[in-house]
Amino acid sequence: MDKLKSIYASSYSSVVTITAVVLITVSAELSAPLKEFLKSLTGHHWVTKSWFSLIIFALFFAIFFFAKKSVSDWETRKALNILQLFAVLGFLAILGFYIYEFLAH
Amino acid sequence: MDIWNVLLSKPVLIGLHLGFAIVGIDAFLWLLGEVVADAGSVKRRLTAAWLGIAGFVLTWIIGGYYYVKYYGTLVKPVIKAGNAPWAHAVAMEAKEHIFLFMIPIVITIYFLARLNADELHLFGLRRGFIYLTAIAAGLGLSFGLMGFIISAAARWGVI
Repeated sequence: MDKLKSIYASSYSSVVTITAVVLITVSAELSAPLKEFLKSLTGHHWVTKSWFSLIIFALFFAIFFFAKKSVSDWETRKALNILQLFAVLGFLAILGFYIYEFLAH
Repeated sequence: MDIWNVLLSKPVLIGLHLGFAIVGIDAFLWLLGEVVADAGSVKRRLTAAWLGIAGFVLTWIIGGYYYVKYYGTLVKPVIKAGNAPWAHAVAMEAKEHIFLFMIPIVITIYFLARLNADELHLFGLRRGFIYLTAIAAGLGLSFGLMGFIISAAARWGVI
């Protein structure tokens, strides 16, 4: 059923996007050359990260959508539960990182 | 002064950024109510989901334009020199980056909103739908709080 497959693909693609955003955000703060490289692509590091997040989401949505012929309700439920966990962890990781960075410097 | 000059002026940009964010948050709170109440109208859920997505996309574009064009040169130095530099170092940095995974989450919510009440029960997805929509609204409200902290630090941080 396409409705379930869309939820499944969107959930896992969101999980990949959240992970990628956390990794690129922390890496760019810890590596000035990486931040400069991101800036050089669009003129601003945050604009590059914005495009990066959209491209990652669209790409992995297509991969997860076409990788399987069909998905079960159990697989969809699992994907949705993992997304909820990653949304909360992603929020805490980025907020926690910037609090730590501020207190450490 | 033409309409573009008015729309692209700093206070109007901030007002539109905040206004569309409120539309997005309210739409997902509305959707949350629909799912919690087990309301049967898929059309109403989809309207709420589309409204929420439109609100968050527009607040992203408008807020992003303001951030890139004005924030770094005009606002950030004031906050960093004031008595609450953490408002930029923590609130602004966290807000601008956490927002990047808001759009994937609300698109997933849209796909969930396509299911009718019977399908949600049949597939056991209702609870997950409720939690994810609550997370989206909660993230939106946390951005509102961070935005308030940033504005307050810029306005009153040097007094």
